[in-house]
Amino acid sequence: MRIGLLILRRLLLMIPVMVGVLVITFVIGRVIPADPVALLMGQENADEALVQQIRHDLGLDQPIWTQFYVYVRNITRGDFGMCWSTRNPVLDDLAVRLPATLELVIVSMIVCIVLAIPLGVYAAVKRDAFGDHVTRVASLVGVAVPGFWFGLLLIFFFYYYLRWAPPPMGRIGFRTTIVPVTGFNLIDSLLAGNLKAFGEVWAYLALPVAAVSLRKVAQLTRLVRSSMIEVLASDYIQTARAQGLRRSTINFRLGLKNGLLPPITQIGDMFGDLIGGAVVIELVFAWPGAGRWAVTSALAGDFGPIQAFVVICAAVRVLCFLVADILYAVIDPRIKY
Amino acid sequence: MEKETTRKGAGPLETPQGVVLHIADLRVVFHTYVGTVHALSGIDLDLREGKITGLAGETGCGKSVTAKAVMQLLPSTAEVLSGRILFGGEDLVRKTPSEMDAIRGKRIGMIFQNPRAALNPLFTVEEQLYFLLHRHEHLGRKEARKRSLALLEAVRMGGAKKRLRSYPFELSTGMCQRVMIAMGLACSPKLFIADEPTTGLDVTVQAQVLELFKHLVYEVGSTALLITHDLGVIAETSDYMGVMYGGRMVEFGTTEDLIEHTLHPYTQGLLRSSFTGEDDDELHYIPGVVPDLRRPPSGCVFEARCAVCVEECRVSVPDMIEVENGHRVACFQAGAAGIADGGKAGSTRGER
Ligand SMILES: Nc1ncnc2c1ncn2[C@@H]1O[C@H](COP(=O)(O)OP(=O)(O)O)[C@@H](O)[C@H]1O
Ligand SMILES: [Mg+2]
Repeated sequence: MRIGLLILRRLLLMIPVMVGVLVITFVIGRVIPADPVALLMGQENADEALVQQIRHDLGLDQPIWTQFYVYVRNITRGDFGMCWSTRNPVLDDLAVRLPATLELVIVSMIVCIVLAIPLGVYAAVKRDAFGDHVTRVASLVGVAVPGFWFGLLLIFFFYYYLRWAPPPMGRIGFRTTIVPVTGFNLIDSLLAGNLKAFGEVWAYLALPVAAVSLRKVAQLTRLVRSSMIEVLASDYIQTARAQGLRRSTINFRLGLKNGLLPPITQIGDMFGDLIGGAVVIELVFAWPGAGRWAVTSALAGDFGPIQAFVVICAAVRVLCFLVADILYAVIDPRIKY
Repeated sequence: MEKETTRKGAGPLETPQGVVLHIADLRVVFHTYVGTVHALSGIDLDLREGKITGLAGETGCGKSVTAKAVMQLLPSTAEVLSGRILFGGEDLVRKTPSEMDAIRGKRIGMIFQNPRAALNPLFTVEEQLYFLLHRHEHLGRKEARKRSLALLEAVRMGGAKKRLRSYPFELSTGMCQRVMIAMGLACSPKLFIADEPTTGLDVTVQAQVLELFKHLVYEVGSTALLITHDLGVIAETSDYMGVMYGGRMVEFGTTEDLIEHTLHPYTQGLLRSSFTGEDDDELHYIPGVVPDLRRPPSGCVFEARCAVCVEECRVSVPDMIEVENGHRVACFQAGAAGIADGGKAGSTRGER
C-alpha cells in the first residue's frame, strides 16, 4: 500500500539520523571523560599492569574506529554497556526506570492535547472576546515560565501550604506497594485491583504532570488558536457559512480538521520535548525516572546511562516524526507519498 | 456590531409584486483602525422574480458588501446603519444568526470567486455536498449520494460518479465552480447570488460556466444576482443590470436599456473600456481613481472623474430617478456627453 511505502521511506531516513546520534553519544562516553579506567578504579591505586589489563578488557586499546564499530554493534544487540556505579548492564537499570518517565510523559501528553485543542479552538471562535484574552495571556505566561520553577511553585502551594498534594518524593507513598508488572503504576495498580493505590498514583502524578505540561499546553494552545483563526477566515469556511451549516459543524467537523494540520507536527515533536523537559521535573519531584538517573549518573562521571538515555530519546523523537507524518498524510489528501 | 441605530421605517414587509429581493436604503460602514469606511451609502435594488440581475462596477465599489449584507455574512467590524432587505416577507437585517442559518444555503444560495479556495481541501465533493444536503434536506448518506450524483450530472460534470469521490485539488478550476454551482442550487433556492463566479477562469471555461449558470437558474426557476466587474459577462447573461460606484447605485435598468441607452457617464465609461469597437484601437479607460470611502465626497461620488460634471455635482448628491419605465439613474447630467440617444436626459436636484 502507498502508506506502507511512506513508512518504509521514513524508516530508512531514520538510519542516518540515528548514526549521527550514535556518533554524538559515543563521543560523550569515550572522549569527554578523560580516563574511564581511572573512573572505574578510583584515583589512588594505579597499578600499571592492572590498568593495562582493564584497558584491554574494555577495548580501549583499540583504534577509535574499532571502538565505535564495537559500540554500534553492541547497541544494535541491545547492549548499552555497563553502568559503572551499579555494575549492572545499563539496559537493565534503564528498564527499571523508563516506565516511570514514560508514565509521566504519556499522561502529560494526553493532558496537553485534551486541554490545548479545545482551548485553542475556543479562543479562535471567541476571537478578541474576554475569554480569548484570558487564554492568550495565560498561554503567554505558560510559554514564558520555566517548568522547574513552576514545579517548585506547585510544591510550595499544594504540598507545603495547602497540604493537598502528597510530598514531592517519588511516584507513590512508601507505605503503598504495587507489584510491578508493566512498571506503569497506573496499570499495575489496576491489575492488582487496588483502587486506593490507583488514586494515590494519580495524586503523586498531578503536580509533576502539571509542571511538565504547562509549557506545552501553552504552546499548543497558541498554535491551535492561530491556525484555527486562519482557517475560520478562509474561503471554504465562508462557503460553509453561506450554506447555513451549523456553527458546531463548521467549527468542529470542518474547521478543526483543517485547523489541526499545522499543530500535528508540533504534537509529534511534543513527546520528545516532554521527555527532555521531564528530566528537570524528575529532579524537582525526586521522580525515579530515567532522566533523573541519567543526569545523576553523568554528574557522578558515569556516562553509560546518559548515552543510553540520549539514544532512546532520539529514537522516540524520530518515531514521533514518523507518526506525525503518517497522520498528516492520512488527514490531508494532497500529500503525495 | 450591534445594529441598533436609526434604521428607517418599519413599514410593511411585503416585497413589491414580482420582486424576490427588495433592498431599500441600505447603508453599511466598516469600523477600522484607519477610520470609518462608508462601504454602502444607501443602496436600492429590486430583484425581479425569475430574472438574472447583474451588478457591475469597479473593484471596491461595494458589490460584495451588498451580497454579504443580503446573506448577513458581514464581518463583525461592519455596521448596518439603515436599510431593509426584504425577502419572502421578512427583513433579513433583523434576522438572528440562527434564523439566517436556516435561510442560507436553503432559500438563498451563494457562490464565490476562486472556486478552488471556496471548497474545503480536506473533504471530498460527496462529503461537502452531504453536509449541505443533510443540513437542509435532512438526507442520510445514501440518499445524499443519489442526490449529489444527480446534481453533478445537472451541472454537466463528466464522470460524475468518480467526481463524487474526488478532492478539490483533483479537479480543474472550472469543475470546482461547477461543484459550487451544484451546491448553490442543491436546495433549489429562491435566490441565487454569484459573486464574481467566472473571474479568474479561462475564457472558454468562463463561457461554459456562464451558460450553465443561466440555464440552471431558469430551469430551477430561481432568481439570480450576478456580481461581476466584467460588463461583457453581464451583457451575455443578465436581464437587468445595476451599476455601482463608490458605495452607491448609479444606474439601473434592463441590460438592453443600459447598454443601448446609457444615461450615466460612469456606465458610459465602463462600457467604453469593456467594448472597444472594430475600428477603434484606442484603449479606453476612465481617468482617475475610485474615491476614498473613508471621506466620501459631499456631492456626486463620480464627480472627481466625470467629464461632464457641473457645479451642482460638487455640492449635492443626485438621487436615483426614473427616466423611463424601470430605467433609473443618479446623475444631474444624465444622457449628456452624447451618450447614445438616452431617454429624456433628466436632471433633478437631490436633497440631502
Ligand atoms: N472587512 C472590511 N473592512 C473594511 N473595509 C471593507 C471590508 N470589506 C470591504 N470593505 C470596503 O468596502 C468597500 C466595498 O468593498 P467590496 O464590496 O468588497 O467591493 P467589490 O465591489 O469589489 O466587491 C471597499 O472600499 C472596501 O475597502
Ligand atoms: Mg468583490
